[in-house]
Amino acid sequence: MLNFAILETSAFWWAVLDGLGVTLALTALSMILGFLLGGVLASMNVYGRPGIRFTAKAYIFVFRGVPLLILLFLFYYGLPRVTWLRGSLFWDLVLTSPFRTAVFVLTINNAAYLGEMIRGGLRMVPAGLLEAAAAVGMTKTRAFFRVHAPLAVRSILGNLGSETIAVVKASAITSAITVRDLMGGPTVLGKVYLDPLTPLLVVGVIYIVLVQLIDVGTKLVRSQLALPGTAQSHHV
Amino acid sequence: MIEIVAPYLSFWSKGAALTLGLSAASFPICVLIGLTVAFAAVSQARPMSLAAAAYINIFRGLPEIIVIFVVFYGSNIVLTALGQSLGFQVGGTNPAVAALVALSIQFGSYAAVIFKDWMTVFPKGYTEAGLAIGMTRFQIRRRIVVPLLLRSATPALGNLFLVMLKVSALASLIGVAELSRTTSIIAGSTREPLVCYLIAAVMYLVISAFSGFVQHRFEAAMERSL
Repeated sequence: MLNFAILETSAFWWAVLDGLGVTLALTALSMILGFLLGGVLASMNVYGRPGIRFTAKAYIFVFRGVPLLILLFLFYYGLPRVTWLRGSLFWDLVLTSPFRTAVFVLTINNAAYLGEMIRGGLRMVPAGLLEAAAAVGMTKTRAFFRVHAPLAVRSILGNLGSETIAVVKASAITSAITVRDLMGGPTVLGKVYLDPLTPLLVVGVIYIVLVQLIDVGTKLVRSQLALPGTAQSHHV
Repeated sequence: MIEIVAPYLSFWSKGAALTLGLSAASFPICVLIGLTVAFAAVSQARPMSLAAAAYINIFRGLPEIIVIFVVFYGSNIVLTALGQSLGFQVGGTNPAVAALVALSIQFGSYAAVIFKDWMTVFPKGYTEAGLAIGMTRFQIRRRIVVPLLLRSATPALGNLFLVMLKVSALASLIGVAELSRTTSIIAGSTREPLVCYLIAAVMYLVISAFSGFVQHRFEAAMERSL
């Protein structure tokens, strides 16, 4: 049953390579989009009036509490049943391909986690710095983009690294809605060769290497960007 | 809409119970593995600490879904090979047991990281006090270090449990009839996937909120006992 014959086919290694590209694309897209949405959620939480704050909190509660698999199934199998969505921009942009559905779901899920992280970062910036920004005559928006946000992001760099790792791992779940990512592509071939285990072991090693690389990358970026004497949070 | 799904409610609640049961059964094992690995990681013996670091790094990098599949398929292959050489027939691994094992070893590594972090800030004075009154190393660990570690790690462990509840949804992919699996079955037979997955999402939220509430009460009770 375990004969490793699949390792000698070029199709398998192409599937691994293609899958790696898809996994990296899923991770990058949902990190970038999730960061933007998370930033909005965090600002709603920090600056917003009670109603707006409640909305952000509710969003974060819902999307952190529902398993990713259920969200994926909800959007991939559930939403296409809503006929009046057909022809809308959302339908064309998101629901017409498993990959784009996966990006969308990973993004809205990721944004909930990133929103909490960014909020923590915004809260860590000392009030004195913001008062100083106001004192030199910066407008609120300017102070946010020039002082508050950059300092907040720097203080959560470590957490962003862990979140990227979490997204790499979570993206493997999108294989359940037929995305041919690093997990999905090779394991589909494994079914053809009646060898489910070998592809899993191969891609498992690649995931481990990928995560180690992200770890090293995070450390590098942190040491480059860290300001002397500023607080760095290590834990999620 | 409610009439459509109403007949399946008992089936559904069985799935929800299995989701809770799977995590509840796996969690003590994962805490035990976590403590063992954390102690190995801070051990003086080099092979021990290396093995622990390898364990932590491997499962930090592996997606849960891969671990679940590898345990499921792998144990099937091993059991079949064993059965052939020993001359008995095996019916294949029980998916629920495979999921339990996979969740325990994966989350054991996450728990190990939590404990390891707390060990680095553990006051030296406590262990020295234990040594001074003549306790053995093992006694110090069992009666001083572990209770204090468990107490200080409770919030992090509670969060880990909430993560486990959600990750246990992946057990549905190897056929464990927990909440996600039952939902997929019901969605298939009612042809109402949207309604069914929405209900499942709400059920997960309720389970999470309930567990969070229990955790909160537990933490508060522990604060008072200090």
